[in-house]
Amino acid sequence: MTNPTTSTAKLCTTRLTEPAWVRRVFIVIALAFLAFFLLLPVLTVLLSGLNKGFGFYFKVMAEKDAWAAIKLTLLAAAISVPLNVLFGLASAWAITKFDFWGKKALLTLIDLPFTVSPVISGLIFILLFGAQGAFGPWLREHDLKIIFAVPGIVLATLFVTFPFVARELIPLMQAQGTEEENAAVVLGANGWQTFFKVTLPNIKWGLLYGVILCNARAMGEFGAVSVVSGHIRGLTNTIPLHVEILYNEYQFTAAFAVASLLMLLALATLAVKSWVERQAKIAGSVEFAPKGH
Amino acid sequence: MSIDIQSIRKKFGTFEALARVDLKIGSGELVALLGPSGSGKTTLLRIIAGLELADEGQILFRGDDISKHNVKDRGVGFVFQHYALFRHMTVYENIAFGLKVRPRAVRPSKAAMDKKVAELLSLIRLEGIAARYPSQLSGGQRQRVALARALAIEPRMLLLDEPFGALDAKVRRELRQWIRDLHDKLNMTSIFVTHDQEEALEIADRVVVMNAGRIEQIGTPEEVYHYPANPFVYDFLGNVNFFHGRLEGGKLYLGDSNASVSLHGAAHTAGSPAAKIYIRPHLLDLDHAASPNAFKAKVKFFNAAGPFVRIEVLSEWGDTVRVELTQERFQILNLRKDDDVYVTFKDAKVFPASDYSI
Repeated sequence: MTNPTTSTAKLCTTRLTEPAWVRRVFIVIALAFLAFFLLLPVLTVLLSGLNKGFGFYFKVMAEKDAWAAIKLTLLAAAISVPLNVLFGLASAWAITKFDFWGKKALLTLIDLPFTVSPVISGLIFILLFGAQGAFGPWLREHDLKIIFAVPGIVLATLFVTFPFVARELIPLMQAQGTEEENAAVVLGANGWQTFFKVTLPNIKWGLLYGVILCNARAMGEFGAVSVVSGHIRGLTNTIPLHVEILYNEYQFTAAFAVASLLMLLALATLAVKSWVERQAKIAGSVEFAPKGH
Repeated sequence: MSIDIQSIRKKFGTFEALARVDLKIGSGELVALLGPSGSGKTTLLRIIAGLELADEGQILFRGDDISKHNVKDRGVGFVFQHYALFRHMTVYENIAFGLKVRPRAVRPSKAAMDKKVAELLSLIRLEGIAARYPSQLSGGQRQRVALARALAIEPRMLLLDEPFGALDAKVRRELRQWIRDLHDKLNMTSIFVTHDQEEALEIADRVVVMNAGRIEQIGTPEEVYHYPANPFVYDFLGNVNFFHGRLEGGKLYLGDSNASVSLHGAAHTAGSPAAKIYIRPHLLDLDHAASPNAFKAKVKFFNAAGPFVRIEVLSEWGDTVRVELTQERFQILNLRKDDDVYVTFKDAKVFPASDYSI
């Protein structure tokens, strides 16, 4: 007869972990999937970009149109990210700290850019500001150009990156509640002091995380920007649009070289993102952090 | 500092949180706002602090109407239910916060601030934890730091929202006594909100019993416990047995039975014969022998752990009645389950049945 205690012990171990071969199969499947769908494309982009050597690679970057695309991409991000940080903070603050009429509607509207196709996002601006659009005649009268010009690209980028910061902050601020702010006010702090000394330190990692995602999307956006851009070389092309043009002209190596820029941006974003996540985790559990200020 | 609350009303949507509340609090008093959740006690406290605005009514601090004053100008110390310590600041920074945010002209020097924080830390008996973060403290320690932070701005009054709500029973009792001692030492007008009647009766000078946005009774702990103004207060303060009955010819008939008692000293009500009878378990006695003023019942359950023995008996007309006896009395009676006993009244309070329903 077997000892009942040992048989229960055996039962427990088999229940707690899978057999070794099952674990190995799962790990291999996961890694193979990752290698095939993520690592392989990344390597292909890099190697294709470099297959005419580093000299050609840097020549492509230094070319006038490529440089203009890089500058425009940076400009669009430099405008849309700060504006969306401001908007995200304001809306998250309003939604989580106050009750007002239309709050639910605002919450739904913030998600709109996530739910519509980027092509539609671009078309919205054509319908508003295009030659046949609602404001078209007025803009022409005043000699203002939005569509097929830099303002259109900035607007489209702004629209598609709209939800990132707000979406990141709202659940965080909802979970934190308003008691710390109330405490600050009772202790005599004014609105700015409450925001900078109490609210901002509590949300800084969430905010940074939102900024990183917002920036990545601002630089990588293709669909909406493509619709409003008009693809004028050296004027209204961003990096993703420039890649497309090069590719369509059968300049594969040049296309991949420029594309590798976006890929490096993505890798940098991932690195910063995981660093931020680690910092946030440390900040969230102060007992493990070194003491001091 | 005295506080005079005059016909304060507050609605949240269609919910009436406070319906014309009037309350005067004397300088140096420790007052408990006691009531079940949703009774409006926390809302009243937050209105006094200025964290909520009343729809109607005034609040006077020492005769000055401060209803329109900002929170920060009212000079109140507020201790939040869940402490609301600033989680990214050390204990020192938390306590000094109220001083640091002052305009430069009235901000104390670094040395004065250090001294103040050290004083407060010794007052709350937590010297040597200035560099710790709130997450490194126990619940009781956080509560005391929250109190020190509130006191740092030298408030004119202290408001505490469920100050012991999140603590375990032992820490709670210790902290309760400590708050009472601290209040006597500082002699600062203090109001605290609680749903725990034991807490309110133990440390408050006066207890304000609230229910559904109204004040049911204001009085010393003895007054509200021994002379409840209405069935709600009777029921809310301590255990109580409740029977329906009727008053006929000076006798009280219990339930729908013919068992009747004539109550000595009970408040008789005129008019409708239907009555509600309230009696605390320790004001009932049991006996094996029948007597003219007793009703018959059967022992269903008893528990002798603690200073009193808690017994449940089933009355002739089917109500469960709770009785508390001293250990000595219980020994003498030598009760067993399913014994027949006779229940006698030492005291009871009778209210007309139409008055309130609980």
